[in-house]
Amino acid sequence: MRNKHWLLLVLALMLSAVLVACSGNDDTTEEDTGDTDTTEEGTEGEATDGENVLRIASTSDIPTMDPPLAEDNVSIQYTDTVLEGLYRLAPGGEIVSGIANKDETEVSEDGLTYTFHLREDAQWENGDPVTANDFVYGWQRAIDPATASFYADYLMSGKIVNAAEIYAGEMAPTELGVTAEDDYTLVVELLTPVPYFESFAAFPTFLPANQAFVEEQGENYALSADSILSNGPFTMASWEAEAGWELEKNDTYWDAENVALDGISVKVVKDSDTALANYEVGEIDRTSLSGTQVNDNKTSPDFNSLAETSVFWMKFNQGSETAGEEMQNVNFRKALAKAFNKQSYIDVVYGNDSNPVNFFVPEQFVEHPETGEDFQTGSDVLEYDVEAAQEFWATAKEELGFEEITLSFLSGDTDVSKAISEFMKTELETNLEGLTIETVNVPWGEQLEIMKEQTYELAVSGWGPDYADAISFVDLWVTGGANNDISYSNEEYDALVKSAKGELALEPVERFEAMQEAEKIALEEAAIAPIMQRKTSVLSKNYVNGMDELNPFGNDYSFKYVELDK
Amino acid sequence: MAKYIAQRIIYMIITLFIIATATFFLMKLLPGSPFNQVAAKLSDAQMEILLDRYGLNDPVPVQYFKYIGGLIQGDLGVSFQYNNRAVTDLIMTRIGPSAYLGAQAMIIGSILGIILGMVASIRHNSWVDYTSNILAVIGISIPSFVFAGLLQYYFAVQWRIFPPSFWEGPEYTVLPTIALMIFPMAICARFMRTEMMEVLGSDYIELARAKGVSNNKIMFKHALRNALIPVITVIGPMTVSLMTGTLVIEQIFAVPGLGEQFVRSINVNDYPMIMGTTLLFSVLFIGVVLIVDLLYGIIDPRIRLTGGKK
Amino acid sequence: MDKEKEKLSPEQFQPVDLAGEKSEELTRPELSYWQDAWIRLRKNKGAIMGLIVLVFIILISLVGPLLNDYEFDSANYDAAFLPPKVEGLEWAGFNGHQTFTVQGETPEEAIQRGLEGYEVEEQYLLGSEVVEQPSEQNDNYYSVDIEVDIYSAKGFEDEYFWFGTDSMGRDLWTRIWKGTQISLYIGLLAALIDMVVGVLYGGISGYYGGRVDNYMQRIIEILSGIPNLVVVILMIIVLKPGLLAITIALTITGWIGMARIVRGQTLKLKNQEFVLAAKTLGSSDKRILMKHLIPNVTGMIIINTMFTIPSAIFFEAFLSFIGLGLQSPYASLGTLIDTAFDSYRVYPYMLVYPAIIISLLMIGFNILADGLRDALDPKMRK
Repeated sequence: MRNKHWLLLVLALMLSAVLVACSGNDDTTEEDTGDTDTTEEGTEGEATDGENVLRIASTSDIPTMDPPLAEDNVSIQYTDTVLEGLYRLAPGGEIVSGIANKDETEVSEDGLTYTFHLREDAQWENGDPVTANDFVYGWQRAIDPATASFYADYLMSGKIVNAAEIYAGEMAPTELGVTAEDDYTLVVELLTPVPYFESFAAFPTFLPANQAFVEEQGENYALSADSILSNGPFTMASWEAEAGWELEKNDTYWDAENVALDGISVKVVKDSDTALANYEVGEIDRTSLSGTQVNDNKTSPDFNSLAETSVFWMKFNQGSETAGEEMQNVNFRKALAKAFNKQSYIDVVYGNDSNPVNFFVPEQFVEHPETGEDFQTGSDVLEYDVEAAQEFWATAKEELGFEEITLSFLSGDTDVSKAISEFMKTELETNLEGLTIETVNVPWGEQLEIMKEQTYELAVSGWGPDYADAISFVDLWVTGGANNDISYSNEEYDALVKSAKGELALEPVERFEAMQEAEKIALEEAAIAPIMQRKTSVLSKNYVNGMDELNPFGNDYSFKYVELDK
Repeated sequence: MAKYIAQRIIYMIITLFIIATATFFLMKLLPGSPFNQVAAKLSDAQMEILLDRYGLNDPVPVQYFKYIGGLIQGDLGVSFQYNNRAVTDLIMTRIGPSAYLGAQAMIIGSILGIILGMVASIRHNSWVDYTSNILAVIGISIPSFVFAGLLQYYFAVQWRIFPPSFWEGPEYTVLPTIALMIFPMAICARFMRTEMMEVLGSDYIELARAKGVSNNKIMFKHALRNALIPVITVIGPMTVSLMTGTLVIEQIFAVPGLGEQFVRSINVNDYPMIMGTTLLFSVLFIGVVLIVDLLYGIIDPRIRLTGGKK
Repeated sequence: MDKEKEKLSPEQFQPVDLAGEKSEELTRPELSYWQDAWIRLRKNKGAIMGLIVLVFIILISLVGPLLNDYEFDSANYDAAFLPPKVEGLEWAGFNGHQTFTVQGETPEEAIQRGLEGYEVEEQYLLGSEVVEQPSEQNDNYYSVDIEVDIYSAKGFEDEYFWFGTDSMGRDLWTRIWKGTQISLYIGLLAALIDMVVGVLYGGISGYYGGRVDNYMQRIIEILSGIPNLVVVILMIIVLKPGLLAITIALTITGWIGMARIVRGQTLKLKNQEFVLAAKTLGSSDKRILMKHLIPNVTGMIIINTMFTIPSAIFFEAFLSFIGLGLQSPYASLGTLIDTAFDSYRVYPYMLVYPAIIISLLMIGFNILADGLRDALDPKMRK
């Protein structure tokens, strides 16, 4: 009796285990069938149109396909691939016509009114024409506080009429300074001239939305492949959470004949070694390299480095409680800024060919409006120079009267951040006598909090622009600025930035030079210690064309122009 | 028995409630906010508006009661990082691959481990014993990310036997399953060997032998059963943790599972996801512990959990 | 149960006068439990081997860093990624030659790319060999192995890094042995926590059973249910990273597995005859638990410790990674393996040595533990 009981139980146990396995199995078979469906579709597509599908990996799922909510690289990349705004970015960051014809756009004398003329042959996937009303709705929806868009507020408030008030809930979204004069004419009213408004017209936050479709989908809008309505070069054929998504060429796109790819197949791969393994077995056509992978693959014929517009620097927190007095001393800061080898920093941390820099507005980002010269004319005040650093250090010691000092160095908990703090500690301690660096490696959330409370002395951080204008960088260090978490303050600098944002808006040359001057001041005072302008290293099969450059802002690549040359 | 189980289920609810409460308050102490990603570009005023909108500016106890209120009605809330998708839906889509892999690894791993352990105990101090022992030691001395990475490099990239990653069919589960099952296999083998040796040396087995009971019957009917207690103690909870997902394996083999999801939820302060996953894990964990306790009594009827110390 | 009924009056148990029974005396020298165990352990050759391996690793981890002139934290970026080189052992592969696998459309182009990419002058190229012909699988490239004298190429002809150098040019020999010290500490600490907290907790819970067991097990469930990562991140805020933080993190949940195992075994054993016998003889609970139950669970305890130790060593690496463990330039075997794995394809030596040491440690510990089990377990007494 007891024995039978026991046997039964083992059976039950095994059965339950099997059942669990089966139910797991069921789940996956369901998903599998889902997957096979899509792969079948994919293969069918491939069969009819040749192997013209770009296969790539993404380090994360798409956080959102709802344009106003897009705030990370992946969301920005794919909202912009599936949808098209007034303008679009062509390879190299050139802003070209999208739904609006760029050549016909009218800007009023005072720079406060923009009139966009839309093409009449553009349509949504469902056959509706893309009209000015779709933009009005899209923008109103973006700034509507109920949508909770970060970027809408960041880019619209204070620039487009009534945006700030709407976001604060004081006005209805319909009050936004954007109107449809007729179906194909869009008028935008600004509060102040925005010399870089062109960039906005190509940014995902300013994408149109089909009101009927959005309202029909309600809460489900943009949550799955079916609830996205495309008007851009590609449509989303399938989207499996955390696994990947498939894009297909949109035959109803107005410029479909100039879209070379039949589709894009994206798989979510979080581990960079896994992405590399897939590249090596030919599962994907392209992969980004990170950390030591760069060193291991830099001899490959498929290796390429793409310049970014992100610049990295070391912050000197002058509002530090423990060492505020020292951090406010220019010689002290200059000594730190010049005491570490920027090239070694790149070699050790990234192992690629990023450029060591002595400035903070990136190179090859903006050009002089008349002469076409690069914003950067080169500065060497903060160049790596141990001897000079030691002299500044000695002066600082005299002025401040200290022999030994401990500074905290704040960094993240990723491999890269670890390498950074390890490197900086070694370099600074070796080159500056009496200095002790206490490294603090904490998760990102904690890091933000520490930076906000300013309870650190040194930290490495970087900035990437959201529009093509130097003000995106120069604005960082104004007194009391939202991003000035280093308490830097210089009246002359503030005045220059203020004029660049205000009265000089319509005088591009003076404005440009004012910003150059402002950067120079900040560098001479060593507000921060520039380190490098980053490059992304990739392995890319030789048949992939049109992905050799990164866009300076917005979506990284313009898939519309990518070709496979198999 | 029924009374005992009913009693345990009441305790289970209380325990879950304590876990939920503790996790809720601890999680609120985590640095940062769900808006970390864009925090660098947000001004304080904007941040306040966002926090208000999601009710994150309420005092924590208020947020807590709101959450518990929802929980009682079976509402786990919506995820922050996935733009308001329901936590329940998100968990349901993620748990599939994790549970499948975990179950597969657990079943194969523990069966192999038990067999290996039994063989090693019968032929103890033979080469089988030594080999299985050294394999077990190496299996647990090499961290899983190294093991998984090597599997992927050799079997997928070098020899091209299995696909390197993704979740598209049975052949895709081979490498992650091997990587996952090493630990349960090693642990089952070692526990089984030790416990079997003790059991085989005990008087009642001697007696059975003396009575002329066949060797197979002794092994499977008497010895195996009596040696199972430590094995089920360990594999019960281990099954739960494997089936609710493991970060490293899911990341390396690009499996869209729950483990990776959970760690990210913590990193991005996605409070409802953290709570949902924690509760799921706890329910399963406590359930399995109960099953293991019941199994004790069935494997060895002398074990009684109900009565206290006499 | 009625306690009164259980209590037997002491008068019923008057000790028998043993003085007269001289025959019982001197038949065997009286040995304590530990003396007895040691005698039996010495007879076990495997266990002694294990002990020797462990002692050897411990000694070398203490002495090793002193044997050469390099510091574990002195970086030299020019000397990054140098492979192992030992004077006198060149024939055994410790010759400081590095092999790179490079690809190109022709073998010559591949070699040229390799030399340029790794910044090696042609005179230091020792040999090359085509390892893969062009095929569909590798995009029609040749793969060529080139062997270079990287020490000379980087101008370090007279240096000898016995285990090579890492990405910052630090001597791995020194770092690995320093790291072994730390990992040994972590391993011992984890074992100790297991032994003290886990064994006692599980023993008490299982032995007393009933309500005590019920509450103690619910506490375990609660501790297991609260996500560990959340707790650890909170600890980063409160504590300074370092050994203390690691110790606390390990103490919170490190013992739960052991407690559950010991409880399971105790539940099984406590109703067996020998416990009943001890009870009948009036042994206190403490004595039954410590002298009768726990020694009978030794086998399980030792096996479980064997799993706890490597887990703890890698848990430490994880803690260091998220900022709670030891911070650079300090390293442990776990963190060394962690970083080495990033580039094991080109620089396998970075991964191999720490992995071998950790495996040796575990094998040594394991054999010793098996011997110890045989020595300590009363059931194994012959």
